[in-house]
Amino acid sequence: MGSKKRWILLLAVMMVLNLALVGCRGNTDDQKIGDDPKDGVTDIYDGPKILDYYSAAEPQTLDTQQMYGSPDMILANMFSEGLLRSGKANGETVPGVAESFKVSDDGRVYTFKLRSDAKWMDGSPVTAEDFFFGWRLALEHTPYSFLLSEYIIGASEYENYDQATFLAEIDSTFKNLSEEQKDERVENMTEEELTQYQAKRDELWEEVKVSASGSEITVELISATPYFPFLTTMPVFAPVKETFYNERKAKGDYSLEASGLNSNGPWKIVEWRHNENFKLEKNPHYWNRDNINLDILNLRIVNDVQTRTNLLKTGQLDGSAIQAKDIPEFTDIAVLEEYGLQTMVDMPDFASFYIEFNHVEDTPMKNTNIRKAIMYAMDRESFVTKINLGDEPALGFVPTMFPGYQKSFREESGMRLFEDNQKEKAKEYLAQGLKELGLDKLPPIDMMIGESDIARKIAEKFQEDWAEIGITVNLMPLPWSEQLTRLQKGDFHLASSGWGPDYPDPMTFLELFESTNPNNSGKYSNPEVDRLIRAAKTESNAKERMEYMYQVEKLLFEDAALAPQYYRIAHWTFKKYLTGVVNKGIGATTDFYWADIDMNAKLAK
Amino acid sequence: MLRYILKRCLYALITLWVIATITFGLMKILPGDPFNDPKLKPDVKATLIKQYGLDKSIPEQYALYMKNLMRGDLGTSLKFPGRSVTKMIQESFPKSFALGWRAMVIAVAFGLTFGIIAALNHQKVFDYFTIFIAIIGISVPSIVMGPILVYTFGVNLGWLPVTVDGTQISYLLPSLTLALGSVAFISRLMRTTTLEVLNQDYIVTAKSKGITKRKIVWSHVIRNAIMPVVTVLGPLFAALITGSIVIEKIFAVAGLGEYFVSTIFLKDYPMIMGITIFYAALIIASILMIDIIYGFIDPKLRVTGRRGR
Repeated sequence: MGSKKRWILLLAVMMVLNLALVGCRGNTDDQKIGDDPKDGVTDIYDGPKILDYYSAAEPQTLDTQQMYGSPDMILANMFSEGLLRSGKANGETVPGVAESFKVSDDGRVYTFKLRSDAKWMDGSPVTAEDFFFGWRLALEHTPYSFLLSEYIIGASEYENYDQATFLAEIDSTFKNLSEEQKDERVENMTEEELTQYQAKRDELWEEVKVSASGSEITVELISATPYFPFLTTMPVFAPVKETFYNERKAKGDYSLEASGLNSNGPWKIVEWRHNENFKLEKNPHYWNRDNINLDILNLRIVNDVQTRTNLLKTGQLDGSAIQAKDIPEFTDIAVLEEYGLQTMVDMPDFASFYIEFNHVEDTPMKNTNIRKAIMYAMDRESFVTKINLGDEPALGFVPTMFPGYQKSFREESGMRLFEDNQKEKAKEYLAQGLKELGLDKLPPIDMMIGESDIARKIAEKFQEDWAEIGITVNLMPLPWSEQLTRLQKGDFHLASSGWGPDYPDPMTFLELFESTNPNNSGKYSNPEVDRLIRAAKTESNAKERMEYMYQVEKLLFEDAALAPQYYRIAHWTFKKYLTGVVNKGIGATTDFYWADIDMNAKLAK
Repeated sequence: MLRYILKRCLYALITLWVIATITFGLMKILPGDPFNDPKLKPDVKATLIKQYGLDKSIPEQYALYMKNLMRGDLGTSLKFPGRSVTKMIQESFPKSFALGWRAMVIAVAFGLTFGIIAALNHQKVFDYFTIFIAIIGISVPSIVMGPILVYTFGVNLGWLPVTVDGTQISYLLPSLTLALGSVAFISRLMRTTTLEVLNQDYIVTAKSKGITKRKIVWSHVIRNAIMPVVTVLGPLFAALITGSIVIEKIFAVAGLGEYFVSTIFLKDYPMIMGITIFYAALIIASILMIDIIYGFIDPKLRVTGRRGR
């Protein structure tokens, strides 16, 4: 009898708990609109068009001049606008604040014509001064300041003129000071010195070849740069309104909270709950507002890919990137129908993955034939069908679909610069290499890899390929920072590496193998490669400079300077009612500028 | 009592200082620096290192950090430039807390109930049931349990939200996942201590005096058996309310959990320090609280009138 009572007690406790936890349903603050779906389908909805999407991470910063991460850039593309905007195709531009631009015959001088109806979200006009102010902020050694300083005449001199340079100029004893004393001296500059220093900076700014006359901005470049228009679409080139900047800096929230963000783009950020969500609304002063269809963008911050897929399936997101392991599921038509999804979009994210060799002395990797053996032994085709589903085997360095001269670089330079999976050839190279090194057998080689499961699976696949031709490779999983430290010190045999582009020109990849590049960790050095890279960087003829780059890439493979693995392909799927989303491999990878939503279909789901 | 509390607070401060110092030391031993990103050009890196004073000697950095700490300034994050560490903790802690206290309620309610009933039904069906639950709770990690629950109740059946969206109901799955391990832990502990108490002489005496079984269980067994459980509740509570990286990821909770891991990988020094100090303070505070609660519920303490340590 007693035990019966206890059971009742237990049940009671459980029920109370369930009530406590479940009871308070309703009373929610979710923003479902048209909460009156009587029969949904027949009602005509004419409220705002609302997108439910996500940001893959909390942005590191929304200071346009400081950003370099992908989630940051996607947001910048929504709330901010440069002279030009990134267009629908990779590397293409469309008008932004500038309604048009022209370039001089020698390709060095760009003149942008600002439109008169470009406005900030408070209705004030976007002026040339706003751009110059933004560019000066950028030239403070920000992550992407090199996109200005390496191209615009005088910009690098301006950027590199710091307090220490100033003090060395006015004080002859300064250069004899120790580093610490110098720092101390800089920290204790007098008011007068600071004023003088600022005046000197202003003077140098005058030397930077950017100027405004009327509604035109003229930018003079060091050498012809066919991709310069695209650079102006990047956040580092964005305009910043000085008064807004100063005001919010004083309040301490510039770019840190929604209140500290000024918008001249299609949407403005009205809510930013850190790590949680963004809410953007159409900017009523945006010049092209009539062609912007989405009124409200609700972006949740969701770090986990699986969670995004769950949200997509339960209808809380209007689209999502799809991870490799879910590709089979989302290529299944029945699944797409069930969730009302469009066919997947496949777009390279332009990350190229490869094996980096240490070319410094005392490792067998110095021998070209050994490197070739490693490069030819790899079976990339079976790798992308078994391990990295949906990716593309890399038989070059510059990724597939990356813009070249007129078509993609790969189409122009060759889809395959060497053949995949040539075990016999690899064995021959190995034998040849061993002979040159005077060895009977290659000592085991270490390969640095990431710590993730995926990194290990990838490496294990190639490890098998190498074992097949008699090369023993030991895998060394290391934390990212430790890998970088070793790369910088040149303390490795092989490293599994990847690189994504900073700007839409193959040079962003190829220059990694210039002997002076700080990221040339293996210290690969080929004077001919260096010469061609120099030539390309100074060549004004767009076709010629591309020719130089084809040659550079070919030389890299003649030398087996690297062993490519794969080009990463990103995959997205969107609901059927969401159309016109543009996916790109560079900059803002998902762009809703041309997107539209059929709200009736969305609400009818 | 007041003197005792003051004394404990002083100890707490010293403990915090020791923890902060050790963490600072360990953090600096980690290889690399926070700006170890191949995408940053050398001049940019140098500027950042200077800007955050990382070019100074370690004792200098330590002195500066402690000075700022004394003023309650935890500094700004390196990963999220300009964002104040204090504010970041302030923003994310409530979200972990919202999950944590719910998990705590579940853990304590179910843990204690299961433990007591199992002990009272020693080696009967419910006892085995509890052991079964306990084994599952302990051996199935949340990284497995979370997705299973989400997939079943969220995606497949569509009964519950798949992430925490601010609604009450959305907290059910994550707090259940978070609580499961603790339910198991508490119920096992409670079961063992209850069994122990049941065999004590005073229980036999009480029985022989003819006191009803219900009264014995309520006023003698549970009161005595619960003591060791209360001891572990403090740190457990601190652990639950500071969040779990796995659960926060699965359920998209903007909590503190992620920072425990990511800040170390990113070498976000001020964040590492801030999180450590915050967590240490929480643990110390919760232990102190438990000590005080102890004074109220422990029958032995009251009988002997023992005060503190």
